[in-house]
Amino acid sequence: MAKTKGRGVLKAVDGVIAITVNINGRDQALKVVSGEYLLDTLRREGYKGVKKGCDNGDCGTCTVLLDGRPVLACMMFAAQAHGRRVLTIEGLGTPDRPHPIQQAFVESGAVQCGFCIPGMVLATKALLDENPDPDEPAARRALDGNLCRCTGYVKQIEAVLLAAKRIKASPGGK
Amino acid sequence: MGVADKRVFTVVNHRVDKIDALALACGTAQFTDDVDIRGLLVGRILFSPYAHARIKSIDTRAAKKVPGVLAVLTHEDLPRVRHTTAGQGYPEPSPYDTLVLSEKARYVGDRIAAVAAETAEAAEEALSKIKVDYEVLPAVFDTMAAMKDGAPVIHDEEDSKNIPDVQHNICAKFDFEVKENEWFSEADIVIDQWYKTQWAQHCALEPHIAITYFDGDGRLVIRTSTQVPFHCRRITARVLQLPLKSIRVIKPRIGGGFGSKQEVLLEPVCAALTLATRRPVKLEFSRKETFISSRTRHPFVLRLKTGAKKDGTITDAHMEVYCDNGAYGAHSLTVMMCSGSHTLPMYQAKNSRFIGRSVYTNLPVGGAYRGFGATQGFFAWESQMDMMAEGLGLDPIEFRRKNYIRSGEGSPVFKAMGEGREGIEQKIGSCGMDACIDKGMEAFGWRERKKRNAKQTGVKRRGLGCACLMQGSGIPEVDMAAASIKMNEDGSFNLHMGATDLGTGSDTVLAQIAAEVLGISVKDIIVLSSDTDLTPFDVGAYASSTTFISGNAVKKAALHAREQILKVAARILDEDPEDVDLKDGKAVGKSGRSCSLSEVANTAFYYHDQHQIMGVASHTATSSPPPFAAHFTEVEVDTETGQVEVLSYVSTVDCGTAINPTLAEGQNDGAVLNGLSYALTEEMRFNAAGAMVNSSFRNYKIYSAGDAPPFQTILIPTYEPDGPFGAKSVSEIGINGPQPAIANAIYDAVGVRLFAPPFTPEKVLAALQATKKKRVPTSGR
Amino acid sequence: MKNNIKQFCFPTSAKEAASLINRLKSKAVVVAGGTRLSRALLPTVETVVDLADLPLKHIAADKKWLRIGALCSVAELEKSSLLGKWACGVIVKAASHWSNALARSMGTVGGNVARAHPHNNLPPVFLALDAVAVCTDGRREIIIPFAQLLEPGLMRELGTRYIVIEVRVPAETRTWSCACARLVLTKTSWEAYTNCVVAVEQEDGAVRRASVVIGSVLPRAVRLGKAEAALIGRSCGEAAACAAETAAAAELQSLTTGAPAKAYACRTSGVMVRRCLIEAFNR
Repeated sequence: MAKTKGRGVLKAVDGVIAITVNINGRDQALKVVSGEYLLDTLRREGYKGVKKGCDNGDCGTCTVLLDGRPVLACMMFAAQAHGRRVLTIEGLGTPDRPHPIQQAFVESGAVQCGFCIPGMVLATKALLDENPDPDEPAARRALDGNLCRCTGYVKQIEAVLLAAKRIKASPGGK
Repeated sequence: MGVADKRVFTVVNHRVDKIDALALACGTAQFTDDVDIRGLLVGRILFSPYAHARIKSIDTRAAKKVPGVLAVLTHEDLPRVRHTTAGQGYPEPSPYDTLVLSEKARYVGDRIAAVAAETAEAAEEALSKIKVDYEVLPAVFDTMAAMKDGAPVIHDEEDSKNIPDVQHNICAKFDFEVKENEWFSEADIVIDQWYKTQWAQHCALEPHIAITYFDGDGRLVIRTSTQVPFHCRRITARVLQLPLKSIRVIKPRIGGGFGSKQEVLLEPVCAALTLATRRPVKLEFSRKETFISSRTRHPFVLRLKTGAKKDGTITDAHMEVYCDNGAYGAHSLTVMMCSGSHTLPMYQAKNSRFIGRSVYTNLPVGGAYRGFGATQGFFAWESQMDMMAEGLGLDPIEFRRKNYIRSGEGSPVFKAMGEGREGIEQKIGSCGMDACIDKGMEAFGWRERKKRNAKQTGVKRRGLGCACLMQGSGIPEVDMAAASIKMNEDGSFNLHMGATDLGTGSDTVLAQIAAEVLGISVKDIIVLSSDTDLTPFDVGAYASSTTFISGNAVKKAALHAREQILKVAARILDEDPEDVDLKDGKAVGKSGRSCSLSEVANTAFYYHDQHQIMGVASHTATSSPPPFAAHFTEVEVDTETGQVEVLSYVSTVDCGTAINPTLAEGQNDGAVLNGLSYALTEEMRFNAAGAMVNSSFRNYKIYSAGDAPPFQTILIPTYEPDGPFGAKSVSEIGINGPQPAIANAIYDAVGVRLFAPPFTPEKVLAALQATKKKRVPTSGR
Repeated sequence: MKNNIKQFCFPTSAKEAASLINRLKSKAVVVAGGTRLSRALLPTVETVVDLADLPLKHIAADKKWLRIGALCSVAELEKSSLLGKWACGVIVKAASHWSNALARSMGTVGGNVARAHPHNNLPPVFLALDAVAVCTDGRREIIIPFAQLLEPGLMRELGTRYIVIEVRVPAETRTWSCACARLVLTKTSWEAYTNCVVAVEQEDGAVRRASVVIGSVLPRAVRLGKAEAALIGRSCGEAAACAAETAAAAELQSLTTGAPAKAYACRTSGVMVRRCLIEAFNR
């Protein structure tokens, strides 16, 4: 479902708004409480990989991609995602079929407690989609909105660069 | 050499992928909040807006009438059981001065009431309708002022226990002295200096959270983000006066703890709400609530008066510490003592004295925080070491090298100062400090940088600093860990342990230890940690104990299982058990014949002497082998703005055998970066009424990838005889270095010594201005 | 959660958006990037006007103006090659100093301008470049110079009466010598001690025209007229920069009425002014 002009007006009925959001490639009709934030909607709908670390736009653990761009799900109303594409960590890869970025995070030792990792992986995805060959400063800059208290970021930056290398080398460089 | 003493490894000391990393990277691993529970209520807490106030009355009638509200609790509704929230071994060495919901407000953020409601909005509305009649009392926010005669008495209640001096707000005290000579009689120089460290917070990305519910059999389940599941069960049972056996604590994935989740904070409140409503309840702190009402790093006021001889021998060490504990005494004795017990043995002064006081003030509560007092102690010590070296005209690194404790040496401090009680005698079994210094200096380029900095002009000046450190590995004769390992038909094993992986990777490290013993891959080990119903006891993840103590328990349990496997395999292979070895997932006989572990398991299950192959073991240590570390940094100080930029930071750490070098590096990286921001920026600030003014990540800035300076961790291998496969701890030590190393580097750059971190640009510039007239910046010392 | 919200509107033109807010007044709120706003809604708000669909993502130059659409994200400014060549790339630099990757990805030019928090990065640079904001109230377009825009009275009308369409920067600024610097506790701090932008038009090695702007110190970005006056006509060099430093620090002192808490910011603002000027002179 491409973003089209004219999403019109969404009205609440008894405080509930019906929205359609493409989540991880699938159009989903959702009923949300009118003032609900996207983070709370996604978690309620089972996308538990979207984390709540501060609920104030400061930590990046709730990062999702909105039409390919990294955004903070705690800073948007769910209804704002109406008619748009949302990618959560669950849509990127699964333990059976991990995305090369997820695999690179594992192999680089970039995952400690892992609470910040879904957000970081998605921030990495947004970076590599735009810049398949980032250098160290570019990788660092792309992750600078995703706080982590465990790692010191050393191995996460390594992971971003490793993922870039792998994706470039893979057929089609997906 | 048997399997227990082997030094060439197939799994241990290898960079095995963290076993839960893939699920975490895919977002499928489940943290406390990542399950859906039908009928879950929302719990919320009412916090005190006053730093010190008597509660004259609480009226909850209006709150209870809010639609959707199922329970409103105050201290009047709960058993009045004084306890400590510190999740320590029993009996806890912290005073029993806390109620689950307080009868008096002792800081802004004290817990006054709790509600459970169908929705967050209803809970919120109920909180706003609780009417509390406060009589505001004078408050005290200064550590030293709180000890004076006439200061407001914060714990004037009758039923608290183990508070040494209520009238002077002293919640813990400890004095110790060994003396060989008259004080300072041998010293050629004496330096007497005060230091002051700041309030700081752990900032685990996952806020504190607990979910409680009754299972089908009516037992209370506590699903919680905790470092101490067994202490949590014990403390919750006691304070709510429930039979211990009626509680089950489940620890899922944890989003970081760093000591903060060694506190039993939310569980009793959440459980009380479930008891009151008979419904599942979730209670989580918002980030702001985490800042104002969880735990902090105790700020210290320290005095070090030290003496040394011209030849560089340290003769005297008088250490005085005043630990600000805030409103309650969590970890008051232990953190205060560790500031001395982890530092004083390092430099072996013949005269050593420690005077320690922990003090109540009307500010948030101190707790366990990575480094645990050693961080504060080493800031003073490693600053003082540079000052002494300068006073003696010695190279600061050589001065340290001359004095630090070596392998085979003991210290009277080990015996005198344990954690909260007398310690144990121990001799250092492994010490890689020399290699830490040598390799660190080389990787850092200390000499080259020194030379380069010798001639500097301009407004930006560079300087070098170093710090040497030690910590411990668990609390000897207190910490106990147990593990069981059970064999399955396919040759896999269930490893069950109380050891609590809070994101550190201990599940992986402990699985590696078991795999090494059993000659298998970690992929054949299914780890369960921790569940008080299913896993054996462990004190929990704190005091840098898990690898060392739980690791030994796992090793013993695996050896126990191995013995049983060998017996069965010997029978299959028709050899003596002592001739059978386990490798590559097989039992291999002397003859070269082998059988699969699956065959072993099936044989045990169905054929001869039918039994479950299962190892179980406990471990407690009689030593706490210190890891050692040396840190080196170069900073550039902008003399016009006071900005300090860290140009390079190298830390070397001797953690014995690194069971998993990748994870060990990660532990040290994280500790060092936390230490760097603690040194330069992090500080909880309070207004005149005692309320925290920067309670968000926007205003309490922890370093992001963009803020982190270039830094490097280098592991220095040694072999600790008491550790599992030579391992000792690694997780805490790294945080102790940046503050003193940077202070020393700032001094080297611009001749200004700072005694009160964080070293913000404003402070550095003010210090530069204050000393401008006194001395011209020099460098290249 | 904000339960008083009754509807979401997704206008496709600035005019439509402006008509909506003028009709609904305090019952409506606009969100664009939404990085901050959505957490601080007034209880009167019933309608959220989401500006995400406004076709205002252009960055283009013509003979008179450089035009930057209000819906451009800060990250998009950073990546623009046109902006990279404009006024020594000062807009790109200011954008790249802003907070962190997520804030840059979400935050828009319009939001950064219309909700001109003292620490926002773009108002100082636009002020220094003599920019104007093109706004609409749904009936007509009006052009507001930044100096006026940042006054509290007008500020409050952005998003309640006016929708920002684009920021226009005069074409002649393309060749101005500019520099900016942000003094922060850590690189990705959202707050700054001071946020300095200078823009100098040189003629025969002397300063013909200068903007000296400081953000973060006062509730809004300010041009320091006395520092600018200290520069005009002087040759572009260290002496002029030092004179501007002294004047800037003194002027800020007076504007902050000597508040001790601001002493550090005033002093270092002077330093930043001098450094930025020297950098700009050397371009």
